[in-house]
Amino acid sequence: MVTIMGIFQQLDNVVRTQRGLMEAGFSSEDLSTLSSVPLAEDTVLTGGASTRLPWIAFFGGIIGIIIGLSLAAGTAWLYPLPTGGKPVISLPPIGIITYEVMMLGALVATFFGALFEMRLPQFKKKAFSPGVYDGKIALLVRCRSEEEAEKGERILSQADAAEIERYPGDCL
Amino acid sequence: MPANQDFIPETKINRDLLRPVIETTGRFYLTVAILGLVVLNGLVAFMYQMATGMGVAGLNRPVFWGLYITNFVFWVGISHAGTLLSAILRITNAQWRRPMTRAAEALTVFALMIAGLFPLVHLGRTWTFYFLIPYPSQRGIWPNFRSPLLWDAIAIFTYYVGSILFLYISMVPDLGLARDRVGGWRKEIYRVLSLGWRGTAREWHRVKRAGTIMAMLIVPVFVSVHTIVSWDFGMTLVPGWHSTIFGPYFVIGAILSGVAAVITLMIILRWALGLKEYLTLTQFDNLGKILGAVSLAWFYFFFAEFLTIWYGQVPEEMAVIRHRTFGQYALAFWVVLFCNFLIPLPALIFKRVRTSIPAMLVLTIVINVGMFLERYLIIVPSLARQRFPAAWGSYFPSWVEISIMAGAFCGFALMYVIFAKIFPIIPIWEVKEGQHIQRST
Repeated sequence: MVTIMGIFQQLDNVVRTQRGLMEAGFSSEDLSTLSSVPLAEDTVLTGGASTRLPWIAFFGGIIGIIIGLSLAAGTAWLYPLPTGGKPVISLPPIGIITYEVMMLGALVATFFGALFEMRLPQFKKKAFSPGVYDGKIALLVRCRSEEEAEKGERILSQADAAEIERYPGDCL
Repeated sequence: MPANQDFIPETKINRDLLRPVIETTGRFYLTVAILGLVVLNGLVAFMYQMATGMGVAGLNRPVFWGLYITNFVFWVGISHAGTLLSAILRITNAQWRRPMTRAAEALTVFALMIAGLFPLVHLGRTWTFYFLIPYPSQRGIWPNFRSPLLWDAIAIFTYYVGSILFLYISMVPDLGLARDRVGGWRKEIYRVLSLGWRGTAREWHRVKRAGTIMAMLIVPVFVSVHTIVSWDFGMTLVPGWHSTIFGPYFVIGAILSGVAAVITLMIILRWALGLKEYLTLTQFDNLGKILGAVSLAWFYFFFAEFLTIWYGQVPEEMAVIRHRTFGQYALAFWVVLFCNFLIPLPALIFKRVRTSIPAMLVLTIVINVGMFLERYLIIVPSLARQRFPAAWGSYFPSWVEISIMAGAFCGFALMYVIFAKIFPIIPIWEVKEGQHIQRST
């Protein structure tokens, strides 16, 4: 497996080339872009736009509720401190602590869930061009065979890609 | 974003906004040296207090909460508007927010660090702070979660962790840029912190989605944190504290002081780092409008609280009110009213004031002087005039407390200066994205 990277100056050109690649038989899963800003999702392929982040946040919150309840109610039960006839396990403080830990769980889960879905951290050298930070856009094409790679390079070259490079392995 | 709608080339944006990170001037070292000396003085005072005992502070019966707790409440308040402003403006997709979000988020993180120091200083025996941490110890004792002080610790920890993650996730793309533009030892730091960011479509999609979810989660946390700080007071039966309005009153005060602090910081950054092209008058005009509205809301709560007590004429409550308004703290009371409402609101009505950098600098500093005194007035007079007149007293901070407070203020400034030196303080990718959106519309 190899990844072909073509560098473009204009977004319109990238969009046209993506369409050309898909018409030539490349799947949308095999295409991605590198850019200095988020590109509009209706113009370029977003590399698996469906995300489970809201669910990850939700389950993080559930774990937070369990930890919060264990802290507030569980510890009061483990070491009872009867004070002036008041209940040892009191609902208002349990609610407050559980709420805070639930939010903490949701925030932490969202953060790590996002890293997981972004496949970061990733310190192995992958297809990249520092010119991307100056406004250029790189189009990445994952090719499963030598024939696909040659076809991909031909399409990128016909689309006037400024540079075309080949990287071993999956670099999407 | 440029005010005149002229688009700045991405190469220039990279150069301008990375310049403070790459170039180090003599002014930076001088600032660090001066701030460092004041921090050192504060540390010496703190060591002296730990070695000698809490007697060196001005705290004495009946006023056991003084400057340390005032600072704690003040800094928690300051911290609040940073992440809140950034989160709300992200959720509402306000385009003018772009150049200022990171400066505001960093303000939250460092202000919370300073706020968290004061309860530790106030402990006296600071080394016993770990009693607050819930862990299974050999004694089998757990912290008492029924105490509002522990709610405080948990809420602030949640807000702190959330704010750091929120700041960091939106900074990763710019760390990738810094990794590829900076040499030397710092390159390795950026390489690790950028986590291998390349700017793939998947990465951008997830970073934006995570930012939106975290923004939505952090707003209710913000409201809860300062409400819980207010409950440290409201849950007691001390006259002047036991009030149902304290939660929203503290929250609105936090927004007032926090927005003012964001504006002050932006003015300093604009001047010190030469960011006039990015932090434009549009940002100050819009923030000025928010500040004016919050000042009005603050006065509403302030007035509602006072009027209710005044009509009730409960003797214990009135003793505190008289002490605040016409007694020993009368000057501070009227200064608070002028600083937080009577000066800022009429001034901020005028666009000429909102778009005048010197006027906004003076106004925002005046508001924070007022907010600091307001926190002091909530805490000290109430303790000085409790229910038993024979136990009434007074309080004046000692040199130790003042030194620690000065050290904390300079410690905040020092951390912020170092942060702005190491990391791009203007979110580069957000500025570029704003230009792309403007161009496409």
